[in-house]
Amino acid sequence: MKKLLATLALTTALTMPGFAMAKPVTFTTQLNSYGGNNAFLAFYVTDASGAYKGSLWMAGGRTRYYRHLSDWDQATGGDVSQVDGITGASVGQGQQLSITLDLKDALFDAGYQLHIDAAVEDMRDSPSEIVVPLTATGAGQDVAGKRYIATFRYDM
Amino acid sequence: MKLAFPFLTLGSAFGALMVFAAPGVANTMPQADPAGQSAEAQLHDLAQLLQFAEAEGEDDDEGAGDDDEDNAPCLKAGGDDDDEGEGEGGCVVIPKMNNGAPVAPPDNGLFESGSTPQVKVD
Repeated sequence: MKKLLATLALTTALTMPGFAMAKPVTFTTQLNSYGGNNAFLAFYVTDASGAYKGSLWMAGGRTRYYRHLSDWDQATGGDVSQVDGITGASVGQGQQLSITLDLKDALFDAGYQLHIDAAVEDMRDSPSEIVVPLTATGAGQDVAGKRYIATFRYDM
Repeated sequence: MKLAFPFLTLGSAFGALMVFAAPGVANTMPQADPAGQSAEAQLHDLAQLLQFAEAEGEDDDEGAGDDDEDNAPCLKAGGDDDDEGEGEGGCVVIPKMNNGAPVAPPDNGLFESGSTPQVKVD
């Protein structure tokens, strides 16, 4: 019986940190009524030194427009494989995009920043329209955009 | 009765005239072969035409953007709406789309393994 309890305690101790590492985070982006076509949005993360770490989401499937997400394009060299499996439809003006992702805990309170580049056909590009540090205290707070994004927030 | 018979005869004759004068029927009528082409030669030509049509059908399937293209690693620029006007030539990679179906995110160290992104637009 003691052996069984010890085994149970050991397996629990080994598996619990694994569960704690997963953090479902919801990114909510509300667009302005800017009077144009659907917006392309690139969500990506840079580390404390400003270096590109990876992409989280790409709203818009037409790769010909990706170069207008200029900061993302520069950081990735236009590498489309960076958004493989995390690409969805572009977002219309006035619409709200909600993305829920299971992100690693290590991304929070470690100097990482979330960037959102925005672009609309025949309108001005808006690189890094949103730049927010990923912190536990920053969750649930609205951040205003500069051009196409009215507000952005993340909840976890 | 006497009056009906001529009308019936006239009607039948007119009907027969219309049927045989119709182009479709006329084309089915046996005609003289001015070039002296035998039935065997005609059959041979018909077989060639059928083979050509079959080959064209195969080409269409390959280039129509169906399953073959979806599985291809890349598409030629201008191959579909996504790339029209690209004008850069070569091959353009299309990202794997996530439209509600469970698609794994890339292994870039940001996502928990086995997770599936969920998206909603309101």
